[in-house]
Amino acid sequence: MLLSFLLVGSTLASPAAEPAPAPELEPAPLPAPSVPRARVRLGTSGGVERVALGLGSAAAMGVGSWWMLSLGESLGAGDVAAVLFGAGAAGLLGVTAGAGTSLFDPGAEALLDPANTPRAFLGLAPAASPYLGEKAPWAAYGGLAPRAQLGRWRITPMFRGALDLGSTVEVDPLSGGTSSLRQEGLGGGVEVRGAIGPEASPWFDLVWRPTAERRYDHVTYVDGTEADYRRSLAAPLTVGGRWYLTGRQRFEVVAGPRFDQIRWSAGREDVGWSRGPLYLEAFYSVDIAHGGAWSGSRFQVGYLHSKVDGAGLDIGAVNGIFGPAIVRYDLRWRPQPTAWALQLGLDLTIADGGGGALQLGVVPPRKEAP
Amino acid sequence: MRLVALVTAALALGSCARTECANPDYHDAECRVVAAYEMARLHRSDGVELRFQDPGTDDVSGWASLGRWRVGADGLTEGRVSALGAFRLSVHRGDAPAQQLRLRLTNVHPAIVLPGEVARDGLTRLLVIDLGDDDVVQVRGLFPADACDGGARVVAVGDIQTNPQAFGRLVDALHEEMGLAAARGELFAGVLFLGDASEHGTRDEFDEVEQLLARAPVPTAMTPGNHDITHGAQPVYTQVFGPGNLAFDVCGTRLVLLDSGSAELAGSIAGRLPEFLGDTPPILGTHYPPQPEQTTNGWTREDHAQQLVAELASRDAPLLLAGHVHRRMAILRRAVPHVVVGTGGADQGAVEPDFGYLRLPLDRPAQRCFVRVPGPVAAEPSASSNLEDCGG
Repeated sequence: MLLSFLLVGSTLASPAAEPAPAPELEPAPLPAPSVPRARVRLGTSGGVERVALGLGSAAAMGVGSWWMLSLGESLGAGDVAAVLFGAGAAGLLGVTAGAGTSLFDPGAEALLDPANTPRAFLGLAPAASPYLGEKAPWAAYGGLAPRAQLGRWRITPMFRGALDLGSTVEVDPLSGGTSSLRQEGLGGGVEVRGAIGPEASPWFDLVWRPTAERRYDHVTYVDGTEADYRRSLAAPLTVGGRWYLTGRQRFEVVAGPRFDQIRWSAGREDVGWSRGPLYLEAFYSVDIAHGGAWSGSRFQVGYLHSKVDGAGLDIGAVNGIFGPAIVRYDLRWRPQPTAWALQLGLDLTIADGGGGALQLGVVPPRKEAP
Repeated sequence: MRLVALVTAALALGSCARTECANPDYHDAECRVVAAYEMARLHRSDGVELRFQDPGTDDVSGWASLGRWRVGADGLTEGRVSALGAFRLSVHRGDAPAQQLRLRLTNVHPAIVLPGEVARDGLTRLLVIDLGDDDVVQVRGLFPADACDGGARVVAVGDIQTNPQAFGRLVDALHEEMGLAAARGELFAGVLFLGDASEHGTRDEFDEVEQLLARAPVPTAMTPGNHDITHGAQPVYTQVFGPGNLAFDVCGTRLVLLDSGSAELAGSIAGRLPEFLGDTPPILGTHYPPQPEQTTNGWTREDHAQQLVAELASRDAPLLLAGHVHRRMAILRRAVPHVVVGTGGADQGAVEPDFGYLRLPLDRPAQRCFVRVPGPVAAEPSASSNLEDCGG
């Protein structure tokens, strides 16, 4: 099974939770974990902002619940309702995590070298425990996310690829026959991010993140016949924003429509483009200060309204409505301010069909804007 | 040393694997497949074994998930035929003495000719089968040879949930449908039910729907919806209605129902798609619409849905049927035309409801249309639709 990061515009591989653009910074002497230079928000630890976000999130969950229960999840309104509910849940979980973090790390100023999306990364996703005779291969993925700063605008091209390190083998528990599936994917896009607010301390980012990707599924059925499917997914209108509750805590939501196209085994015609489900990412991010070469870490909790990877929160009769919840932790290690940094990431996709992933990335010397 | 032992034990536990559904969770589609397979065969107390079989073969070595056996409250062995059209049973005597075996079969089309029939009541037949010296006796239920000469039709509908009263009216309307088909010389072969027979997946709800369907003039082939599979500990839906994955032929048309109640296909069913869909253009029914547009949310395993659409398109499938969305709609100008009819009674929100079913001539699927079955006060439905009403 491919990884969630390959989802259209997925936060896991995108710079979705990076701080807003900041002016060029000179290297600071180590081991100072943070300095009150970029996005200093004096006099606030984010308490008021968290309460406001919590209320807004609760309202979104309430509207989503009302929408789903009163109009019915099956009335074609379920997608909008699930998006509202999921984004609200991510906000509520986030402010709870943010408040908890503030108890032992009350600093509100931005870290000088926070953990954010590495410019190049490789990852591995371990296999889930299969049933007797079945195989669930590990998956590998990698990508690039270089960035360019143009005044208050930051542009980040994104390239990603992933492949199963083997085939998923399903055993028919009745006949013992086997079928297999091997998946690969390539994707890319660009993120355009514009900051709003004081240059040194923006309070909001506008985000436009058009993305597209292709999935290649190779299936061998029980009877030995083989089929190749190419599934193309495009999300050209994904837009949203990021709210900086403090220099270290932020909430980002992006959403938009998705368009799908399917092509199957060679020589066949495409099944034309069709509108897919809505796409949404809602993530709350918390930067945590460390000391020495450990320049900082980032904790994220969020909701991804996408089931491209076959992961969803299915409970009781609520099937096929919600995407997965995602928890992520990144830790950056930079031995010298002018040295390249290594960043270790750990993902947990909480859903039926979810799993974990371990990622290693690199970040250029801090001469570049964080 | 203790640490090494603990780590070794943890690794050993982690590498343990068991057969899928050894500890079943019937919220899992695969476990419903296993349960349905096991319920397609029954060992009686006297050693006689009853099996549903594929009517397309003469093989009796195994059995097929095409029906469900149980012992009725009156002690009589009862089988529910799950597919439409012809069916086949095999009776394996085992060590039982020669005897006359009494069976009750439900959900049998009234035109089906069945040897050994001694009585019938609606869609229920009572059979007496002579178990002589043969180890295995086969029983075939067949339409008369000329049954399909004038063409055949089925109807399709899904989603009853909290409104069996409205569904009861719909069942009553099927008698009129039977008359219209007969007037045209067509065989009214049965109902394709597209899931969500219940709101909470309870036995009481399913029993009520089973009783309603027993009033219908034709049998019903069913597949579960997300509301039908909520009980993890018991395969309640399967116990009442049998398998949710069915492929059968009616008057030369391949009809397929696939269980998407868990918003995915069972792994074994996804691995057998070519076998289910066959070589001729099939008409497929699922609960969740595989093409999400306009119906928004859908399958958790999107790859299953998209592969299914591609396989249907490669077979030039004339139609894809689904429920889940509580309205009628047609998704046209696609490789596979798609009709949604979740109009069996389930709540349609704050609008005048639009209950009814799809009429589908099997040899002319493009001439499908919607038959409205309004409530006692026949108000016009509020919502418009691109799925047209049947005339007359």
